[in-house]
Parts: sequence; C-alpha cells; structure tokens
Amino acid sequence: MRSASSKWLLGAGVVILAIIVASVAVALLSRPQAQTLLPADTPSGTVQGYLLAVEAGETRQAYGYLSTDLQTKCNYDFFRDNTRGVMGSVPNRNRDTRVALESERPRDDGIEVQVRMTDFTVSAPFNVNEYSHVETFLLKKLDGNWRFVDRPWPISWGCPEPPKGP
Amino acid sequence: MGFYYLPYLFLSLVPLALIVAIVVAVTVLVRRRGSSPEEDPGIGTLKRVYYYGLSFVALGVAAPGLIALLDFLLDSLFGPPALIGSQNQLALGLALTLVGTPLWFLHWWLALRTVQRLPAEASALSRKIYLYLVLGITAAMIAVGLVFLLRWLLGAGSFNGFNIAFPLVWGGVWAFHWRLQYVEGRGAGEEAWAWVRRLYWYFTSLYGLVMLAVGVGIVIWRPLRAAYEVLFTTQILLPGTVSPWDAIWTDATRTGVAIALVGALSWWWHWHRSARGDVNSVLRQVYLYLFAILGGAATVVVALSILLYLVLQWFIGEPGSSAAASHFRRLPGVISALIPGAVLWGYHWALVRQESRLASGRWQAARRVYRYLVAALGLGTLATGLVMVFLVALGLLVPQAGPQLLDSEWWRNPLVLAVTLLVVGIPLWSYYWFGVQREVQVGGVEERTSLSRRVFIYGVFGIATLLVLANLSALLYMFLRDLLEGNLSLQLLQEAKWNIGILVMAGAVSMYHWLVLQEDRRATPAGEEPAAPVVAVAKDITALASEPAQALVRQLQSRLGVGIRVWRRLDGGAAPSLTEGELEAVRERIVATPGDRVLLTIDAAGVQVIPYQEV
Repeated sequence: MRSASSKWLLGAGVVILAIIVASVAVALLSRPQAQTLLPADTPSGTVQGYLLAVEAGETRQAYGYLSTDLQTKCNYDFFRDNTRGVMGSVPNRNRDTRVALESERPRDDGIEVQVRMTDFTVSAPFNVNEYSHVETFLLKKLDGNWRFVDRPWPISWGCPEPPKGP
Repeated sequence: MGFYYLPYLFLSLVPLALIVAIVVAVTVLVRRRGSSPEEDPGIGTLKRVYYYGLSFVALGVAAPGLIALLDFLLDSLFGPPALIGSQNQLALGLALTLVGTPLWFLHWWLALRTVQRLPAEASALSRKIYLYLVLGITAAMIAVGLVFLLRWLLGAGSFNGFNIAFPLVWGGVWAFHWRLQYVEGRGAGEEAWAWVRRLYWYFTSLYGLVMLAVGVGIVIWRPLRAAYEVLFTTQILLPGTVSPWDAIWTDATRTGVAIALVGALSWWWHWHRSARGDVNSVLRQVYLYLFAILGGAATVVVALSILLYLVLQWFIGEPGSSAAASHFRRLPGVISALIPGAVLWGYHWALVRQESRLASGRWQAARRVYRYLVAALGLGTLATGLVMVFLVALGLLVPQAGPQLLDSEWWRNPLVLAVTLLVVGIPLWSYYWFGVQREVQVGGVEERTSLSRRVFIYGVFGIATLLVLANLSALLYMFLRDLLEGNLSLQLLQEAKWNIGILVMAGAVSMYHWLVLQEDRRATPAGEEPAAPVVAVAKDITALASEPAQALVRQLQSRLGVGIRVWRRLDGGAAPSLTEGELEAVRERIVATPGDRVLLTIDAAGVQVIPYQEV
C-alpha cells in the first residue's frame, strides 16, 4: 500500500467508515427527537397528525381532520381509496419519505401550512434519486379544532359530487 | 426494506449484465482480429472481466449507499425538523455501503495486484473499458448533481442534504478514476485503446456543450422575455410591486445559470483540457462535423425559419392572434436559440479551419465535408418546403368532398410554411451545392471521387429511394383498395396527398442525384477509380520539409491514410524522388517505429523516420 492510488484508497476507506459511524451515531442520538411531535391544537400539529394517520393507514382518523363541509363534498369511500398506498401505509420497497414543515401563514380567515415531502429512492446499481414536492394545506378553526377546508394532499383531484336529492 | 427488495435488485442488474456481455464480446472480437497488444501472458480475458465486472457492480451498489448515508447525515444535522421521518434511508444506506464497499475494495485490490505483478495488465482493454465507463457514468451524475447544488447556492429551493451528497460522492469516485487513467495514460502501449478514452472525451464534451448552449439560451431568454413583456404587453403587475431584478432573477434564470456553468466546466475540462491537440482522431471529426457544426447550423436554420414564418404569417397568413404583441411572443425564445446556435456554428467552423491548416491537404477535405453537410441541411429544408407546396396545390385543385363548413382559407398558413422553408432552404442548398459542383469542374477526378461527395450523393439517393418505395407502396395499396371495393374517385388524391407529395419530391431528388452519379462516373476515367481505402496509420506524424518536398508529403499522406503536420524548412533543400517501393518502405518504417509520434525529416538524401515522445 505505498503507491499514490493505494493511499487514496486508504483515505477513501477511512472517510466511508467515518460517514457510516457518524450516520449511525446521529441516528442513535437523535432517535427520540427524530420526529418532533407538534402540539395538536396548532395548524402544523393538525397537518402532522393527519399525515401520520395517512402514513399509518388509519384512514378513518385521517378523514376526521376534514371539516364537516368538506366531508359532505368528499365521501369517505373516495377518501379511503385515494389515501391507500401513499407514504408508508403500504411497504414501499426501496423508498423512504420524509416530511418537513416549510411555512405556516395566515390566509384570509384561515391558516395555510406548507410542507415539503421528499421521496428518496435507490435502485442499485448506480441509480439513486431524491424527489421533493411542496404541498399546501388550508385549515380553519371550527368548533375549537383546526380542520381542513380544502382538499388535503393526496386528494389533489376532485372528489365525486354527492348524490343530489330529488 | 425486506425480501421483496431482492427481486428488484436482481432485475436492475439485467442492464448491467448486458453491458458486461457487450464488453466481453468486444474484447473477444478484438483479440480474434489479432490487433490486441496483450501479447504478454497476462491473467486472461475471463479473469479480467470478472475483476472489473464485479468492481463495476460493487461500485454501483456502494456509491448510492454512501449517498444515502451522507444525505441522511446532512439532513439530520442541518435540515429542517421532520414532521414525519423514518430510519429506512439509514438502513438502506448502511446495507448498500456495507455490502458494496468491501466487495469493490476486494476486487479492485485483486486487479491492482495483477497490475503490479504484470505491468502490461494496466493496458488491458477490459481495464480501459471499466475505467472510462465509470468515468462516463459518474461525469454525467456529477453534472446533474452540480446543477442542483448550484441552483440551491444561487437561492432556488431550501437546504437539502442530497444536493451536497450526490455530487460529492460521485465527484470522489470520478476523481479517483480520472487520476488513475491520467497516470496510466502516460505509459507505453496506451495508444492501442485510445478510442475508448476518446469515446469518453467526446461524448462528455458533447453533452457539456449541449448543456452550455441550453443554459446560455435560458439566461438570454429570461431578460429578453421580461423586456418584451414590458415593451409590448399591458403590465398587470406594475413595476414597484416586483423589482426589475426579481423579474429577471427567477428560478428559471438560476437554473439556466447553473446548467450553463456546469456545462461550461464539463466542456472545458474534456474538450479544451483533455482532447486538445487530438487533431487526427476520427471521433473528433464526428463530434465536430456531425454534432457541433451541423447541430449549430440546424439550430440557426430552424430559428430563422420560425422567425420568417411568424413575419409572413402576420402579413399573408392567418395569425393566431390579431394583436401583434401576442402573435410575436415567441420572438425572445427564437432569438435565445439563434444566438447560441450561431456561436456554436461559427466557433466550430473556425476551429475546423484552424486545425485542418495544421496538416497539409486536410483543409480541402474539411472544407468539402462542411459544404456537403450544409448542403444536406438545405436540401432537407427545401424538400420539406416542396412537399408542403404540393399539399397546398392538391388541396386547392381537388377540394374535399362536401361543403366547406369551416375555414375556407385553410391554405394560408400551410402556404406560409412552404414559402418559409423554400426561402430558407433554396439559398442554403444552392449556395453550397453549386459551390461544390463548381469545385468539381475545377478539381477533377479527386473532387468527384472524394469520400464526402460519395457519402452525400449515395446518402441522399438512398434516403430518397427509400421514401419513393415506401410512399409508392402506400399509394398503390390505397388505389387497389378503392378499385377493388368500387370506391375509386378523385377523393383518393385528397386521402393520399401526403404520400403523393413525398413521392413526387423524393422521386425528383433521387432522379437528380442519380444523374449526378452518372456524370461523376462518366467523368472518371476507368483507370482512376478510387483505390481501396488505405488503412490509416495510427500515429501523430510531423514532417520537416522544404517547399519542393510538399508533393512528396502529399504522396506519403495518401499512402499512410493520415494527415501530416508540416514544419517548413527555411534553409531550402531539394526534395528526393521516391519510387513506389521506396514510399512503401517509408510507410513500413513508420509503422514499425515504437511509440505514437514520429518526426520525418525530408531532404535530398531521403526520408528519415525519427520516433519521439513528449516529456
């Protein structure tokens, strides 16, 4: 191991080892805080609760975050069918989704919360990719609770019209 | 991550297995042809393919793993707090790194050991393919990663560890392999596989150049469009609400700057720094003529055609909008494409002139190739215009059955398009084509039998004949169908107007070029048919010769099949007169010299062949 390329290799090996050790250390040290639980009575906390419910596949609980008016417009069956399979509710092979709070600001008589969703995918060899998109949630305080008043992600397309009375 | 991941991992290895199979096939074929320099005992092709194939796969597993780890680390330390997150990425990164890295180290160490034991192994084709394949893939990855990193540094988007991890890891892999090939590139026997290196150089230069041109185009387009909107449209968002700088320095401009900078870096590194002086390479000529010059010229022709079409459509066609500002809104985009296209065309043509003047006799060939390329571009434009004219004429002469319900002036815009293509195509084709025809009258047999002329004429004749056959078949099918079903009428002309238009145009083009071929054949005496092409000597040759010896230099050039750089002797001196046998002997001496560079000193005593090497 005397040539320049051998020394380079040795250096690369040390750097790789350092990255592995540092990643594991950071993961272990920050494990309790890896996911900061925000207060549930805030708009951001409501968005977090909703996304956690979607991720866990707790569709009924997630549906409860929609305002009564929105629930009338968007029936449960449609909501369930369109939230199934997103994020972690179905094992996603080699994919990992991370959600970070981007902003929270007043909009008319409600609050607009923006989050950045980042999907990390690996398909060895050579293919590694990360894709992020910003999603906006509009909430209002109704009967003391923050509720979505506009279709929340992943219901980004129209809900079916409710059956009209005679 | 679980067992379900494994089938996907193995499936993703299929393209890789194909690459390995191609590498094995190329290696075996080259060795069978007997041109391999691997005459030493070596470790054998299969062992080599195993070492480098496994190294390649392991690298492709370890690097994404390392990126996953570094991304996780950076996001955890510097990223915004996560509302939702998991340790999946960490697990995935650890798994790939812990499997891929030792596997790569082991196989690379085995390969390294064989190189230390048998130095000729450093020049093995499998090793070269591994090195330049890794360099090619990682250079592309770095380019993409750097664009994202620069966009973030210029203020587009928020912090993301991936933007740092991705270019950093691929950059490290690239730097290691680049350094290795740089050191090995100076060894003996390297020139045998120079084509692998050149393939990497010119491919990477090409997309670097495309990135540079696209980036510059975006950077020009954004302020031009802002200026156009300010000058010619009603501003709803008044100045003051958004500052002029904010109107220009948008995400699109930032992306343009990032693409241009990364493209410029990649192009400069590979084209200016690495491939400089590689004037005798065939791949360089392909890059220059087929992509850089033709690409630049085609961009200019298309941009000018759109510009002319917009103007003619406004005056004699049916514009999409009655407001001039709306109709000409594509103007900034056209100008933004026109400027980089013209610069590409001009720069590379100037470079070709400069490089070809270094070697005696090459300037004529370069000029010829250039003229035929631009003539082909003009002919393509002109031919498309002719088809459009025919379509309009047929549509007017044989109108569709039934009453016209919509737009009785449908022919205006197609006619404008036809006129535009003819106005651009006719001068371009006629200037360059009749220019080469005049050269043929003066230059005689050498011009008529030149490779570029034959490629052009046979190429155009072949394509036109294929078009004739395809459209004649389609036309005959429609005719017979209507005839047998008893529906034959003049409406067939309407239905088959595209086929008839292309048939007439391609028929005329193929007939004209067939006549040109006949003229060339008649003008070439039977004894002066071009000889079988000489197998080029793969050496960089410089001749030190006096003015009277230039004829001999040209004779040597045609015998060697390669350009000779000439240094003129200022002390005069006579030129020797060599017989065919003596010329062949000089060729054999040049072929037999060690190394890849040769200096010929020509004086009355004859031709001295001196191999040399730069230190």
